[in-house]
Amino acid sequence: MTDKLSRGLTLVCAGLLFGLSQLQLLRELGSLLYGEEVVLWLVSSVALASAAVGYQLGGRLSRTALVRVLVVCALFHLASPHWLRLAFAELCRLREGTGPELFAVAAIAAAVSAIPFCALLPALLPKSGSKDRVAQLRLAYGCELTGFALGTSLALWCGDLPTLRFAVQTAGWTLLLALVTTRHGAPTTGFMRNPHTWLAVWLLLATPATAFHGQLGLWSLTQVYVYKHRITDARVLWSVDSTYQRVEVVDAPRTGRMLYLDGLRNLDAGSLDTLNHYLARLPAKLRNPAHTLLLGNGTLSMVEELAGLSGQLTSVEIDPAVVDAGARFFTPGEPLTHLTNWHLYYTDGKAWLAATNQRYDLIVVDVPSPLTLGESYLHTQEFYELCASRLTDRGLVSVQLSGSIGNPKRTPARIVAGLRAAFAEVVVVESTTADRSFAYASPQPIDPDMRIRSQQSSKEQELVILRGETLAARISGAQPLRLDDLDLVLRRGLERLLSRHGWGQ
Amino acid sequence: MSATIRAWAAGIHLGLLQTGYLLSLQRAISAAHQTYATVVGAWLVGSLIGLFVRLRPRLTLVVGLLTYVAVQLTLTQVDFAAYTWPWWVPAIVCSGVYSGRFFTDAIAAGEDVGPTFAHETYGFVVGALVALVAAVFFGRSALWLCPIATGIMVALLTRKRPH
Repeated sequence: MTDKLSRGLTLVCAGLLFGLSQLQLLRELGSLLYGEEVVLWLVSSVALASAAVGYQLGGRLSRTALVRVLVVCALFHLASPHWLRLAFAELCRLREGTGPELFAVAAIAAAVSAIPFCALLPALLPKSGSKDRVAQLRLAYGCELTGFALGTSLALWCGDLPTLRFAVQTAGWTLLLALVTTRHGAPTTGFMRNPHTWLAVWLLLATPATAFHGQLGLWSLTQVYVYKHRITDARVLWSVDSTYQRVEVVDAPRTGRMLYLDGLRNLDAGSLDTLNHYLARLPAKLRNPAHTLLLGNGTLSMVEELAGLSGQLTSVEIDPAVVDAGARFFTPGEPLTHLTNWHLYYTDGKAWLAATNQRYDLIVVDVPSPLTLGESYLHTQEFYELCASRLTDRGLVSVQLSGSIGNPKRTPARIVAGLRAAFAEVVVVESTTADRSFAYASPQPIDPDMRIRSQQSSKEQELVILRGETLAARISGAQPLRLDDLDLVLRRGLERLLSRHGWGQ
Repeated sequence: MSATIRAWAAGIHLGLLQTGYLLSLQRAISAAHQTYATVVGAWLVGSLIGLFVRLRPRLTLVVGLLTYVAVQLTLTQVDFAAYTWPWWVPAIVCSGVYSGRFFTDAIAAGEDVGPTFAHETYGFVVGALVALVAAVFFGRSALWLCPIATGIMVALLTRKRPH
C-alpha cells in the first residue's frame, strides 16, 4: 500500500468515526442534560471546540504520544456510552441531585469523541517547507470530509440500531488503529510495538463489548433514570435515536409508563386520558368536525377517538420514531390501520399547513413546549395566523399550554397572547386534573361556558373558564411569541439548565 | 498573529453562513431532517470543490456571500413556505466553496495546518453561536446583516495575492 493511499484511508476512517461519534455525542449529552435548544447548542459547541483542540494537538504530538491518545480514546469507545451514563448516574447518586460536575464529565466525553480524529490530519501532513503541501492537503482534507459525510449518514441511518452502529464504529476503530500503528509509525516500546499482540488484546475486549452492547445500554440508561431522574423503580424499555431526538420509553410501577424525548418527559400513561380529553375530545364534541387536522401527537393516542368524532382525520407528525414508540407502548388494542377516514403523514406541521388547500373545522396542536426552536415556531403568532387561514368559518384551534397562566413572560401567557392576536375569540380552560391549561381559538364566537362545562372530564371538580376581559387581565403584559422574537426559547432553556445544575433558582 | 486573526475571522464568517442557512431554511421551508442533511451535504460538497479550485479566495468569498444574502432576502419575505424544489442548494454549495479555498490559500502561504484548522474551527463555533443569538434576539434580518459585516472584514484580511 502506498503512503498516499494509506494516509487517505486513515483520514477517511478518522472522518467516518468523527461523523458517527459527533451525532452520537449530541444525542447522548442532549438526553443526559435534557434537550433544550441551549443544551443542544452547548453540546455542539463543546464538540467543535474539542475538534479544534484535536487539530492543535495533532501538529504538536509525537507519533508515539498520538498513538497513545488514540488507544486511550479507543478504550473509551469500547465502554461507550455506558461509562458516560454510569458517571452521570453515580455523580447524581453521590450528590442526591444534579450539579456542575456533570459538565466536566460531558467535556471529557466531547474530548474523546473529537480529539483523536481531528489530531490525525495535521499529524499526517508534512510541516511547512514541503513543496507539495497544498496537493497533500487537498487529498487529506478531502478524504476526511468524505469520511465525515459517510459517518454522519451512517449515524442517521442506524440510529434505531445501536448495536449495529457500535459494531461499525468498532470496526472503524480497528482499521484506524491498524493503519496508524503499522503505516504511520508505531511506538517503539510497550505492547503496541507488536501489532499481533495488540490486535489480539483489542479483539478480546471488542467482541464482548459488541455482543453485550444492547443489554448494557438499557441497563446503564436505567441507572440514569433511577439516580438522575430519581425514579427509583424505573426500567427503560426502549431507546432509539431518531433523526430528530432520542426517544425513550420508561416503565415505573408507581408512575406508570412514560415517554421521554431527549431526556424530557413528554407524557405519561396516567395523564394521557385527561390530556386527550381537553385537547381533542372536548373541542371535537363542540364542533362535530367534518375535517380535522391533528398536528403532533406522535403516540397516536388521540387518533382512534378523534377519527370517530370526525368525518376525515389527518395526522401530521415529524418523527416516525415517536409513532413507532407510541404504537408499541402507548396505543393498546387493534392497530389503527382499520380506520378508513384517517391518514398519517410524516412531515413538518407548518410546511404541511403552508402547502395544503384543505380547510379544517378543527386543528388540534399537540406539540411540546417551546424549548427548542423547531417547537417554538409552532407556538408563534405567525403560525396561529397560518392556522386561522386554513380554518373554515366555524373552525376551531385547540392548543395545550404546557402549564397554567401566571407570569406574563412565561410560555402559557405568551401562547395565549399569540392566539389572541391571530383569532377573534380565545377561550382558556384551566384543568386541575390535567395540571395545565388549554386554549381554544376561533374566528367565530366559541360556545358558551355552560356548553363547555357540560363536556368537562368526569374527574374534574370544577373547570375554570377564562375569556374576554377576564382572560385579557390574566395575560396582561404578555407579548406573543413572534418568529423575530424567540428569546424565550434561549432564556427559559438557560434558566432551566442553570437551576438544574446549582446555579440559580 | 495576522494568520491567527485571518483564520478566526474566516471561521466566524463561515459559522454565520452555515448556521444562517440552517436556521432560516428550518423556519421557512421545513424542520424535517432532510433540510439539515441537505444543508450539511451541500456545504461539504462546496468545501470539497473549494479545495480543488484555483479561483481567487476573495472571489469565492464574495460569490458565497452574495448567494447567501440572496437566499436570506428571499426567505425573509415569507414566514412559512410550501415545500418546493430545493433551489437553495446551489447557493449553499457556492457559500461552502470559500471554506475549502481558505485552507488551500493559507497552507500555500506557509501556515501550519494544525493551528490554521484549529483557529478556523474556534471561529466557526463563535460564528454559529452569534448567528443563533442574533436570530433569536434580533430576528431574521440579523441573519443577513451579520455575515455582510464579517464578509467585509474577511475580505479586508484576505491576502491581495493569493497562493
